[in-house]
Amino acid sequence: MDDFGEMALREREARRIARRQWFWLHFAVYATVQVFLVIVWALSDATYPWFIFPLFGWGIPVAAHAVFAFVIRHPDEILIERARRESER
Amino acid sequence: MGRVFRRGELKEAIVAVLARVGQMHGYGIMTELKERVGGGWKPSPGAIYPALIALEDSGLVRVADRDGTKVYRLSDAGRRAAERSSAWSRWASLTERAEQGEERLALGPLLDRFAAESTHRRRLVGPDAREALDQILSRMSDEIEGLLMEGDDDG
Repeated sequence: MDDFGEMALREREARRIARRQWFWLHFAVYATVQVFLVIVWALSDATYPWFIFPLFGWGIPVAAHAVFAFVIRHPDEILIERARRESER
Repeated sequence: MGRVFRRGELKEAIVAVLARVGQMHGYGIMTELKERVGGGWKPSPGAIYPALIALEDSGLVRVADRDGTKVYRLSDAGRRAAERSSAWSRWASLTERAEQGEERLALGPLLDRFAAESTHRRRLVGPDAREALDQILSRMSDEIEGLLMEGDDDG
């Protein structure tokens, strides 16, 4: 892997970090809102647990976002990673 | 600015660049693309490098290592692919997309056409002819420069 390859690798790493930071921001907003909703629920009649609807209704997209941020890799990333491994051998 | 390259077009554009320049390292290919497409479009190593790897995988491009720098050139299959693809109309539409939202047009495609129409590139000439050609080219470049300066005053 030459200098240009290193540049590509660094760029992809920066994008990956940014992707994860966006996820954590999303997660923080989600968690804050859910805690708030549970408090509202507890302070009100606290009978029917209606807070589970936003908990799951928004929780599923948050989980999908986590998969996107941590699991799924762009084909270009896979190619660069392969080139890096080959150059290390 | 939206996406300039659609699926597969970046690879085709790289093949077209290599067909024109012969061989080049990754950074050079990136710079060349930037100039040809124009319109303020900025390519990134993170896109160009994987495209080069994919082209190498598919056998269109050959890679040689020169003092730790990879130099790319077309394979025979790559040259055939370059001849088949209609790079011309493509450059124009790429530039158009890169320029969308901008009123200014990039000079790249025009200068490319000039380069493409010069069919005597590899011909050897004597010192006198060289001198004369050099003068013509300088005059032309001065004229273009003058025209561009005027254009700037208008805009």
